Amino acid sequence: MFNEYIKGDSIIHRIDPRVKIIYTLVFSIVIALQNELIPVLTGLAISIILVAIAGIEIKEVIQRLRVVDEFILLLWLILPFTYPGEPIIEVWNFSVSKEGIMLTTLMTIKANAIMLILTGLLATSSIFELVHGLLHLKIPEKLVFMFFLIYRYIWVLYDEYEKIMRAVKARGFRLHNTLHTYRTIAYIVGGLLVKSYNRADNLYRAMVCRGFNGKFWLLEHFKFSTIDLMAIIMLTTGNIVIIIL
Amino acid sequence: MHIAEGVLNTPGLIGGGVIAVTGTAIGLKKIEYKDMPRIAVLSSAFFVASLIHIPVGPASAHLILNGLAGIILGWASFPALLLALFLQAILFQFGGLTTLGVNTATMASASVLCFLFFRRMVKISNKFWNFTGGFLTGFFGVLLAGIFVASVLALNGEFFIPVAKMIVIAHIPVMVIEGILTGFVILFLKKIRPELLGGNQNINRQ
Repeated sequence: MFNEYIKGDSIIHRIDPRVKIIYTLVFSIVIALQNELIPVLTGLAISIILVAIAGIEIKEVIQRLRVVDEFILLLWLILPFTYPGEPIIEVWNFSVSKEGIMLTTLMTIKANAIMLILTGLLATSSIFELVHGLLHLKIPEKLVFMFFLIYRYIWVLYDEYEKIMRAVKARGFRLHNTLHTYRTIAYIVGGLLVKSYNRADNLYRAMVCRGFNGKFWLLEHFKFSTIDLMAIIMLTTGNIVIIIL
Repeated sequence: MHIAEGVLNTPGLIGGGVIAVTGTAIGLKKIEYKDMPRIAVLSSAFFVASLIHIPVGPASAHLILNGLAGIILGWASFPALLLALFLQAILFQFGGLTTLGVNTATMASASVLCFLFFRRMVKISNKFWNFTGGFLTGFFGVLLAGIFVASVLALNGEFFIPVAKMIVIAHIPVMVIEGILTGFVILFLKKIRPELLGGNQNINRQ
């Protein structure tokens, strides 16, 4: 279920995570604020090129775009009808406006361009590289520390959850629209919370025994290389082109 | 209830960002170092619980549980939800980076409001009121988040109001089921681990 990290050895995999994080953020903001078709299409082209350079399989890309496009589909079903403007098609009392179609097209391209850049740049670094990068970027320590713990324990608790589900299924539990189903699921959720609460106590004691005092130590440091410099120059040029267009 | 990238205009994105940063700052200030493991591990539990799918009539929906998260984590819901959404953005590319602020703000504000309004109802020792408090928490957690999402969408312009309405209406069955479920979770925790239901104060107590 967690197929987050796309392994590979492309040039994109080797870019410094700090560069990737900052660029992804800047790119997302630049794209999100555009209102014209041409710059947004340029953004889409840039993101497609990055995904192609990273060598990500098409199947993987489509899987990631599906979720965002479900929301976009909902917009397509409504916005062209409700947006005021010059009508081009009339169906019964509804009219489809040209402006509505333009706006929805724009949103669709923006959403997909940003998702592609996330896939191309962020999914090609492991989570530890990314969080490590965040710590270097002066994100509050507490937040980064909690992020590590949350990430670590999601796997542990997911295993726990699967174990509970196997146990109830072995006893003949099936999901239906009944109060019994809801009550059982509620007890499973409650059980998860209690288990995590107990675990956290042990975790805290273990951390204190190892001298935890709230400080989070970094053991490795990034080195800035020529690949990073080239990446910065090329990606910044891309952003400037989008803004100028 | 995620708002996708590329849909909102600037005021919505910035407003959401400001609320999310403020809430997270308050939340982080209230978390002491010794509470961090507990809050983090509970947040993971909520993350896993939100992957559970339940039948809603003929369809199925995943649990949201932002109300319950509010009751248990209090103001820490802001950093917890921010991190959960950030994880979703980089793990499965659900939601994105520019909408991280808005999505955190809509979900976590609902959590904190539920915490402020219903924590007393789940604290007292009366099973009926505990369940009712739980039901209201689950119901209003989703309803308020839905209303916030709808209002942010409506900021885009009048033509967005039908989309906004549809999102709230589509979530009504989810609200009822989240309510019933949260009620049962509260009764369960009350029996097994009542100290979880005290909000922030009890989490602080060693």
